[in-house]
Amino acid sequence: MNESDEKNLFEKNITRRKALKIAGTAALMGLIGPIIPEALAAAEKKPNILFILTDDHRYDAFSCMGHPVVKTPNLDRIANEGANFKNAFVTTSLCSPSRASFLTGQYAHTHGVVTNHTMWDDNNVTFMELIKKAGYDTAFIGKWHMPGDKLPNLRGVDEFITFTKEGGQGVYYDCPLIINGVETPRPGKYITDDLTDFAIKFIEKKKRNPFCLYLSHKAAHFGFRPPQHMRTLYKGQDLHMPPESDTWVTLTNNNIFVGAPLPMNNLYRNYLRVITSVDEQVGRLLNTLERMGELDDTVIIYAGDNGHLFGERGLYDKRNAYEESIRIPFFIRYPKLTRQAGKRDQMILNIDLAPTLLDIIGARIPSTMQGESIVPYLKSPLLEGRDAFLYEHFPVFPIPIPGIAAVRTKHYKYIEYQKGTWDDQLFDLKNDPRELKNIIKTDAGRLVLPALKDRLENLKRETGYRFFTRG
Amino acid sequence: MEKKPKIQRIVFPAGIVLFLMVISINIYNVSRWWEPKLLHDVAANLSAAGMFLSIWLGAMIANTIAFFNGATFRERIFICLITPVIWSSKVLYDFIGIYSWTEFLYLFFHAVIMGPIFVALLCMGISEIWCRIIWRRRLGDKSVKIFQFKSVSVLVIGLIMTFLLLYNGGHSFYYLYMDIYTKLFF
Repeated sequence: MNESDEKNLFEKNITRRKALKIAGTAALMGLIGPIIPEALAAAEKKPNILFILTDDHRYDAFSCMGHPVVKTPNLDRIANEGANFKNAFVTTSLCSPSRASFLTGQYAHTHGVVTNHTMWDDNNVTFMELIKKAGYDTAFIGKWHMPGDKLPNLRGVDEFITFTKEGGQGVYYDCPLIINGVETPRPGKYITDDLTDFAIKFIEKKKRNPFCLYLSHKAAHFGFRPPQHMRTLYKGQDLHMPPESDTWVTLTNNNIFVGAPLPMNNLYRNYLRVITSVDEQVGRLLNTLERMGELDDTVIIYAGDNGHLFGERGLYDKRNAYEESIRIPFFIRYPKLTRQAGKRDQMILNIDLAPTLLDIIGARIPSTMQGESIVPYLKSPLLEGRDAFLYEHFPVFPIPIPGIAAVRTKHYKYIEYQKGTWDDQLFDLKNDPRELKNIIKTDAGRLVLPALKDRLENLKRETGYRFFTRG
Repeated sequence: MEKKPKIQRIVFPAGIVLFLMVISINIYNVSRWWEPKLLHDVAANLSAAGMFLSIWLGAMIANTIAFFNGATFRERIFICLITPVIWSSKVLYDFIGIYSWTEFLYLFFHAVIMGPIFVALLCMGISEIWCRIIWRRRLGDKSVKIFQFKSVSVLVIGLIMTFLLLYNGGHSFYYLYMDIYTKLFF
């Protein structure tokens, strides 16, 4: 190395032309820098993806959402260090349709899994398949729970660990797993811990590629059996049930068809215990990522497949279009993309997950996906977001809830029931957030109804809606 | 046994249980919005007990009254089944329009619909036995049979069906029911 090479730029003797060239290039870089697409910026190292999906976990059953009893420090961490979408919803509040919507980015009437009885179509394209094509190592671990004579041919999934017991619902203890096609007994295992063990094993495997892990828990679905060490958690604590709830809700009226014939307080206490057990296992995953130095290079998403009613309006279960049923938790932690951590107001949907993940890794979003990327909201918390969405429910034998098509805006919810069954409903969400007063026949209701009906029809048209009579 | 007028031997025992059911259901549903919470809780617990007693165990009350008012065996079966049948009809009514008529008919075999009917038969069978014990003691006539064929048949049918419906927490019957549903309708 000669003497002149050792000088830095400012010590070098440079010509005026050279100096102008350098300054011009620097100015150009400064100008285009902020508008380089994330895809290009991320081209060098794509983030890992960890998607954790739980069952029936209500949007408000977290300490960070102000729940007076349940403790969820690890889930709170994801919510507080990332973006907590407090207006996240499902397009169908039922396990199988919602799960298929997460995977495909499509409404139930498009992907075809309209109820828990209708078959998954192997021709459906999942985000896992597209992410695999983008160079990821992938695993699907946990609850699949979509009907079919056999497990699906999940293209793009390297490891597939699931269960089929009890119609795919699984059981909390000793649940046999199908590990890459081989049925394996799991005596003495608690399902949430067991699935997390497999998830950690997958994460810890040495890989050249980034990973995409879809971890789908049985918890916190009915059965509500907590792990042994949490069996007395929250014992004796006031559960702050809704005022109209009581011990017998699950056994009365038509709630009995759901099949949870136990006193409400017992059910709800165990539900909270099961949620805390999920939190504990999420903590293990976060610790693993942190120990590996991968935490901030991993997009972590936590969501529920639908909400759940515990006595509100005397109802139990989900399916209907009320807020407790359709609202879900949806947290994303990825510090490299999230401009400001904390709560977000935009209305987002389960069908947004797939396009969002593809957007984050810079892959093309297929036009068949009906959701939209929420990456802009991660960057700009104040963006307006969508102003309405379509909610749909198809009859699920033998549950006495009719087909539903509803439109939810920021201010109103208009619910149309299958012809000849229930009376349609209209709620003013701003003034009546608990949806206790149906204003459809009031003057205020008549004023806004035509516009909402139009909006619903437009949404149906835009999404290619059709009604399925059987499920 | 003296055969009393129809009002006493049929309408009264059936009506008392039916009345309890109707009142309980209505109080339960209305009291949901009562304040203070304590009032709601008391009303909900009492009315839930009333519902349980009338829908599931009503046959014990109705059959006992009907037996000692001289109702015939056929009349007693009718009296025991009237409350669960009316309750089931009310439940089935909520399904009208949601599913096809064939699916609606298949609902008759659902555990929630069949359950109260077979539990009513079981309760009637139990009631028959204790009524006969009391009657035998009252008369001091040892020729009065405690285990009469018809009464025992009702008891056995009720017991077997209740066991089948509830076995394994009701899961086994439910999954069988749904498997058959899938085969029939998909």
